[in-house]
Amino acid sequence: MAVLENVYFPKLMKIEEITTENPVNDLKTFKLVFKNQEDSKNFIYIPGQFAELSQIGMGEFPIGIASSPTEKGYLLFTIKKVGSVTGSVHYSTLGDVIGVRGPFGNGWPLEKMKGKNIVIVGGGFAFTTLRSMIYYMLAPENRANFKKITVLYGARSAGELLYKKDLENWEKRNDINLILTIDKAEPGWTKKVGYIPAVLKEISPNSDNAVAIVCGPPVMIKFSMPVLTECKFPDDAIFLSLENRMKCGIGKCGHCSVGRMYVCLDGPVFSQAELKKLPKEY
Amino acid sequence: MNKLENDLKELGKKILLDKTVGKIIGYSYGTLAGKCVPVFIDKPEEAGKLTWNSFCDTNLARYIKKEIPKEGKIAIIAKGCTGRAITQLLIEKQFPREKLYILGINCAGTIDRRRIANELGSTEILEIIEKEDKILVKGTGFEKEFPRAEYLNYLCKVCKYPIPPIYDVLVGTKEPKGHIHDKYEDTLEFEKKTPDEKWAYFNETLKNCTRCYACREACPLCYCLECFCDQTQPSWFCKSAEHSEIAVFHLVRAMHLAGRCVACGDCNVVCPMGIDLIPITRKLEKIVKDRFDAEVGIDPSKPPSLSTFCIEDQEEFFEEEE
Amino acid sequence: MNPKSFEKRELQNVLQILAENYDIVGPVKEGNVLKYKKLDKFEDIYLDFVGPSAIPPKSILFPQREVLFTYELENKDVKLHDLSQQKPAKIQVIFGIRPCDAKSFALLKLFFEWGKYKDAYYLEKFNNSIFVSLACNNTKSTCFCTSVGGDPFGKENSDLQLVDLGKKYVLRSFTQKGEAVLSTLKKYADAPKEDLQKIEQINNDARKSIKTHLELGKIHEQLANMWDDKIWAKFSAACLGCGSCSFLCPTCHCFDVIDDRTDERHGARIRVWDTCQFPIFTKQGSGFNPRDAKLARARQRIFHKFNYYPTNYGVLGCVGCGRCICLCPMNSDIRDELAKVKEVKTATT
Repeated sequence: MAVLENVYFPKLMKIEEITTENPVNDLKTFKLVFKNQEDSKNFIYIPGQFAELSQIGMGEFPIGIASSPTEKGYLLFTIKKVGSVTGSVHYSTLGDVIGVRGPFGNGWPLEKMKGKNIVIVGGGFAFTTLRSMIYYMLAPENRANFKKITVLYGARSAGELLYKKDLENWEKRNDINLILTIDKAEPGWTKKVGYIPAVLKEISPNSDNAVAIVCGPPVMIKFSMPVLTECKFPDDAIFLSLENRMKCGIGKCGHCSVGRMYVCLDGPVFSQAELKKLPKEY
Repeated sequence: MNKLENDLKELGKKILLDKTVGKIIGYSYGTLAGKCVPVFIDKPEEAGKLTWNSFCDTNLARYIKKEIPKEGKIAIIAKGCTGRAITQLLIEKQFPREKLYILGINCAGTIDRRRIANELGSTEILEIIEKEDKILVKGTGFEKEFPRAEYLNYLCKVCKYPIPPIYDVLVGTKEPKGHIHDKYEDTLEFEKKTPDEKWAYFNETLKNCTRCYACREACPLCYCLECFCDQTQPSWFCKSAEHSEIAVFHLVRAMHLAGRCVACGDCNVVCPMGIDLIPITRKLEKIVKDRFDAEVGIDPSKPPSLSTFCIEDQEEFFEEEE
Repeated sequence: MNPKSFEKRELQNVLQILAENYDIVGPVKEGNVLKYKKLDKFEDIYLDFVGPSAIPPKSILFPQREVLFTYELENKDVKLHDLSQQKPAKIQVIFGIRPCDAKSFALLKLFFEWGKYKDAYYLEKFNNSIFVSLACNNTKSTCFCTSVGGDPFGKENSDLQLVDLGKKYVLRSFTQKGEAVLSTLKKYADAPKEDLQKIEQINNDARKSIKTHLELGKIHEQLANMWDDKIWAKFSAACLGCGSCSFLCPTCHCFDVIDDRTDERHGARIRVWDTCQFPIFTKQGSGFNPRDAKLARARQRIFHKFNYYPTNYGVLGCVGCGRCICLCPMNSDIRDELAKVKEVKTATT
């Protein structure tokens, strides 16, 4: 009988680069490269999907993929130090081995986004899979598939904004409209100041032929949704990524169940219309 | 229906009607013979559900914290050990006394249903009838009588406090059950074992533990918002049901209950695998008696023995060995 | 192949013959607890129980602690050893499980192979097992298999079935795997017609002995309109959240995955049983817990088995074994809960 693929068995990657993303040093981006070329070829993903990273001996945790599939040869993950496993990863150094399983989840709805204006609303360190989405859209082979791209990205302070180099580059481009905001004014910051929902209201994005993608802390989502509805975005054109507790990543362990769905299998991306049909277990 | 149960139903209806309390935590009949279940009544017409008999074994004190109302009071049916748990919880400031309306009951002990079921083997208990000093058990094609006194839960046999130490009203009489001089003979017997023998006993009794945490959830004094075994920062020990982890869980939980355990025996009663932790609960009780001349959950004005400094405390473990 | 019959005292010899080609797992009594274990001495086998065993046989194929892989850490490198495809030396015969338990193995298989990802650990073991159920001549007051599509002599996922005729056993096969096993028992006579007629009769009596009759009908549709019903708070009021119902349920399958270190350089990634009845089951990294309230967990249990399973897989997620009723410390009774659910008037009733 054919040997079944073991979806619980991680492939191994090496840490090639570590970038500290914020002044308090609890957010780091890890550039990982597969030890085995074959594994690299087989890891085919789309923006919005996640992987299960292992610090072998400590544990495993789910994390959105920050790199875009258009970036070849490596994967990027931005990890926040919140517990013993992520803490242990933070203490890792270049050349250390990290296990990876995936890609899992449904990813951002590329088919529904083709030919549309894209409005992205991101908050804090939830921006990781949005980086993947933006890189993907801006890639020369893909850019023509999407119309106007508007990105609103905010954080508590300037230091907490991720991917500062990428943000700088995007600001210089004319095929993407990037709006940055921080919660409170600080010396040296000349851009917008204000909570994301407020700035979103100010921008008042046009909902004609548009799709909105929202990713951030629950409170940001709670107050941004009414603004998008006010701007006449229909529920089936607004997409969110859920943050339930995930363990196996393949819909078997039961932790991420929301109604009859599993966040890791049927999500983590859901439209607002789909979410309204699900019980409030997220 | 006995008179006590009748009085209880009447009183329950009255205190809900006149709004002395908004809710009563009590016992009602379960769906299995010889099982009584906790019931939460907030309508006077539901007071008929209340029961009191020798199968009201579980300790209701664990529900108080979650059921304490913002306004008004809640009533609770308290036999001796439930009352001791309530007293200890009040000492530990878990809820205000004025929110409680304690219906004390003079408990005559509860039956060890599991022991009867084990002795009957595969014959199912379909009906249990209490008669004066006998328990009549009926199944498919058979009947057997068990002497009540012999088939009480062990802790009920040595119980010195059938009436709760504090109460607002006592249902039934105050006749003492019989003066028990508890000399902890069972504990003394257990203490005679060598360390290896004691360890073998615990390993044997714990070998069926599935780490379902029924004992922890049942215990009225286990109310930590985050239990040590659920902590991840740090993770004290593994989550699996391996032998060493099971032993760590039970022994550390016992340490956390030292000076606080009221020996109600609920941990034993609720365990689906029939694990016997009585030697531990009895030892915990005896330590407090020997070292601090105190009894847990009796005097509401007395602070907990293990968290209070007293100049008379024995501290021989401080002294250097000669 | 025709069913075989043999005197009861021949059982050990029958098992001895089977043991030449198969590993035998069967029920034994340890103290007061009935468990399923690999049998070396067949005189240990215990078949005189009524109803299902306290500990479900699901742990044979889905152990409470299962090693997924082992690892070694060497300087900066990591070596992993996959344990999913370990072929056992012999196929195992799981002997003496109740028909409800035999069915439960099939429900677990359905779940573990559903969708895009397959669980190699469970499926490998399942495919290397032969199931021999022990028909229920008598039932417990808590049995309700007939209310959920089962039967005391149910055939679902039984390769073979042993029927107790008093002085004799009849062993009958329902599948090709079962036939292969029966063919090794040529020395025993075919069961005569009277024996087979007696089976029918005992089956009917057993069915009649079941005291619980729930008319579940389209319960999953009913439940779909009851998410916010007050009933869930009532069901969960006394619940301890101990997880016994899930751990001892033959169809429950949630688990946690953790790394278990043996020493600084060696260890294993293991999976352990977990349950949606534990308060922290759904607690997120942020601290937010969508099922913080006890009523949410009580509701999850019923919905999962009687709404999500039918909606997702077309079958009920309960086999009616009644273990959760017998073993719940607070005597929560799922039959009671289902009956009360049916009584609620909703848009579909």
